[in-house]
Amino acid sequence: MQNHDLPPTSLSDGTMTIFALIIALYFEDKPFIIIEEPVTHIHPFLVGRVITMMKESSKSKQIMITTHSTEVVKHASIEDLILISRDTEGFSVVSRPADKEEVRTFLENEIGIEELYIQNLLGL
Amino acid sequence: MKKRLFIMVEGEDDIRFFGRIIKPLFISRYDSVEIIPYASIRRTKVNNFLKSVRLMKNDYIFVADIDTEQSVRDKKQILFYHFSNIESGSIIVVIKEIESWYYAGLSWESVVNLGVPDLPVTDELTKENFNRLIPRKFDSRIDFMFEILKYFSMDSARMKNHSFRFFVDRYHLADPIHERSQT
Repeated sequence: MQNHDLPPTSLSDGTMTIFALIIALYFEDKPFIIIEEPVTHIHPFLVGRVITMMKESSKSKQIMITTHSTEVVKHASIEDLILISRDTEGFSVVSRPADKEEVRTFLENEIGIEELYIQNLLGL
Repeated sequence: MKKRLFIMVEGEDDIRFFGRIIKPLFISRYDSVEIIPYASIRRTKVNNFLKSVRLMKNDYIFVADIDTEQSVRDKKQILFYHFSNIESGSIIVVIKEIESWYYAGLSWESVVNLGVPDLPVTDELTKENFNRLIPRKFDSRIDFMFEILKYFSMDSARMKNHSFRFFVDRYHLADPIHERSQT
């Protein structure tokens, strides 16, 4: 069994995603990286480590990710979050939860960012 | 600062009811009305949430089923024990469970159309009783509930369920029934 190549098709989607992230974050020298839904197929237990990798890599490049994951939101800093929501007329609205006094009041009273996100309150 | 109303409800059936029937009645009074399910949230977080809402000088309504408690007062005592930041005047106790509010909204016409028993009073209707009343033609419980909400009658609900009538009267969500009967 030694020296046998493992075909990519035998790897899980999560493993492939991790490999792709490592390459994008540490082996690409592009100054700006956009990653769509980076934690799809990744076990929640590993999401914190993935975010740590991104924070580390962001010291040398701009990284933007899109996500619906509460785990990503939980590990992100409130200042790093940009919320895109839909108004009553169906138009996209871009906002920064960190700028909202009500969001800060909730956070100060130990309501976590991820809980506010789940309850759809980050856009208040 | 914007004035908001947070309606704290137990679960999905409550979200559906308050979202479709109650929220539209409040929306003109507030900048926003948010419905928050609390059953899946730890009690300490719910308590902190109430504290936050009060600090922001927003309003909230805390809705809870009476469950097996003997009285509204007993239920409130339990809520005071669990949530130190809750205020008595903001508590609404549903008797017996939210299903009793759903079923109370069935007018005579709806009862005939759906082919379900007409209950003059739903104060004693439990979730289990409600489930037994679901007609076979409905694929699911949720399907039946959506059908009820489509034809929900506020007048019927107020007549058939005392806790619903109390809630509507407390928050002035409709003209008092005795005034209407005099016109």
